[in-house]
Amino acid sequence: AMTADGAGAAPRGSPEASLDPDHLYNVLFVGDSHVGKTSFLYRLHADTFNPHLTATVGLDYQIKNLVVDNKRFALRLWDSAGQERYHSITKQFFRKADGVVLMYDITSEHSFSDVRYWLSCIQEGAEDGVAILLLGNKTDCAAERRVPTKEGERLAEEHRLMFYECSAASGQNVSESMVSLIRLLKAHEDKLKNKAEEVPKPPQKKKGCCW
Amino acid sequence: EYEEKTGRAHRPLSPKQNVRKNLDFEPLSTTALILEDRPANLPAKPAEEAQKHRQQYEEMVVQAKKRELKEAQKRKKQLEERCKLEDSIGSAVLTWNNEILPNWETMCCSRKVRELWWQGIPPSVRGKVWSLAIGNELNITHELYDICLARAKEKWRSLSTGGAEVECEDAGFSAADREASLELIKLDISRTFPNLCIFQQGGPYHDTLHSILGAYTCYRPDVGYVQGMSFIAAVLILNLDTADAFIAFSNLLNKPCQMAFFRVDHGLMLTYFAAFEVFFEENLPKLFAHFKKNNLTPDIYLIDWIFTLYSKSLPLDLACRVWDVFCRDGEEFLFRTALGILKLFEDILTKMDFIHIAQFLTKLPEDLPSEEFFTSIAAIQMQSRNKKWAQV
Repeated sequence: AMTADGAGAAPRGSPEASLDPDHLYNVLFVGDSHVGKTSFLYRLHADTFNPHLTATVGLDYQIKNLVVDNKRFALRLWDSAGQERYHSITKQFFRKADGVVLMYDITSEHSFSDVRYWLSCIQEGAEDGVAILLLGNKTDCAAERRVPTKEGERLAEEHRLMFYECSAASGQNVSESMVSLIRLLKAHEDKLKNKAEEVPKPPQKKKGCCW
Repeated sequence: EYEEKTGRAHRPLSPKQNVRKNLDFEPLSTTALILEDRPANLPAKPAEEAQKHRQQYEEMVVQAKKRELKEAQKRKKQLEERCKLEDSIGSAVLTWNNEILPNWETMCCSRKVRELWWQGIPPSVRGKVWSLAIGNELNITHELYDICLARAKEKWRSLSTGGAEVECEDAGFSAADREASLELIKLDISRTFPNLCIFQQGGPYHDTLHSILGAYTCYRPDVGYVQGMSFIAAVLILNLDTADAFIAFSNLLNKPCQMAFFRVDHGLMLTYFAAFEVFFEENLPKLFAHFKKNNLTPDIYLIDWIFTLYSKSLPLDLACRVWDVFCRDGEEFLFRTALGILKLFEDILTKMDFIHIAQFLTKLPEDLPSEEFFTSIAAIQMQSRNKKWAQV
């Protein structure tokens, strides 16, 4: 059971936008250029496909409110530029992410082989417990598929990643994958909390709440 | 009843046409509502009710007339303003063409010209003024452009035939890198101003944009193609011939600020951001504090603005006016524009939290009012404790 509403569409300062969510997560979208990161976010926000999106320069931002399992979640979504030149900029933001969505294009072997490179970036830059979702986009282009589902699954298993194939164009698995990611993020959060309670005197490290 | 209604809906069409001129008419929107008499198969309206309906109808007509009159006045005013604007553009074109351009060196820095420049350069002379103002320090000739383009075309050919023997003359950059970059240009061209529908596959400027970006990667393999460049090249193409656009493009990117960003030189970028923050605090202390409190660093919004010179985030006509003054004042104006945007939306931004500010600034409202916008930029002082931008 899930209801979704994009706070971005709500008028600024509406009660809904200022409504306090139960949980707030920062999610960074990475992957090669042109795999469909911005299109995915557009679909999530407006529930349509926009074939006329421009290339992302630097970073883009979006907020998405979702109700999952009767709890209100707010996702701060960070959309990054795919081109290699920008990676050093993107990398600065790994540290601040609770979750990373690593996207490739199922019609591009190159984008799939770069997944390993992106994973090493995440390992290097992100916190240890970061939740990672591997997404193979463009399932609507079945005729041009170059990366079999099995290979995606195998890679996800090898690195213990959550995995979905999706299509920003058709909408397939767009909200589903986000809901699963939210559950994963929630589980991570709970685990961290329990750990904190187990240890008698944890070093009170304040996690930057706003960034 | 249906026939009566449709009959009435058709009839007023002809009176409506002469109505445009003298405004003495029955507004179309109300005519379908009159039903003076009920159809014969129904009992007649009581006199009192008929009277009431007539009165209501007359009131509606009065209201509608008022509205139409107001709209007509508004239209007239708009037309007058438009004519005035066109006149002023027309006279500005004459001044630029007959007085300023022939005497560029002596006149370009005069006060009168600078003021006219601030108003926005008329589109018909914009390209010329940009070219002159950007200059050609690199001494690029049309022939050099042809050579670079020919080389780019060669590379595309060897790529499409799957030739692995891509030459290694430019050490330090792998063939795979180069290949990715050329591939990326192709993908990005169609993603440049997609709503204009002129750079897309099959569009009139698709090949031009492809050529300029390709030629540039051959001219400056050390910089290569970086996302964001396609927007800059596209704006130039809209105002200049291909070879001149290439010359302006290469010289523009060669400016220190553009070089620092397109090569993603973190140290230099941080220096620019730090200087920007000095002026931010000076000009908008309240908003500056709000941003600080929310950990909103300038890189969040400046990267997109500086990389594309505002062509992606501002409406195109406004972006061109920003470019006009950028050509006059240099990089300082890019940061002044940023502060102008922040000032214009200060009240809204102060009420937002981190993510909403970031979202707002990377997708500015499309109906940005141009005069207010430039007034807001004009109000920004680029002097901090007697220091100017370059000194900071």
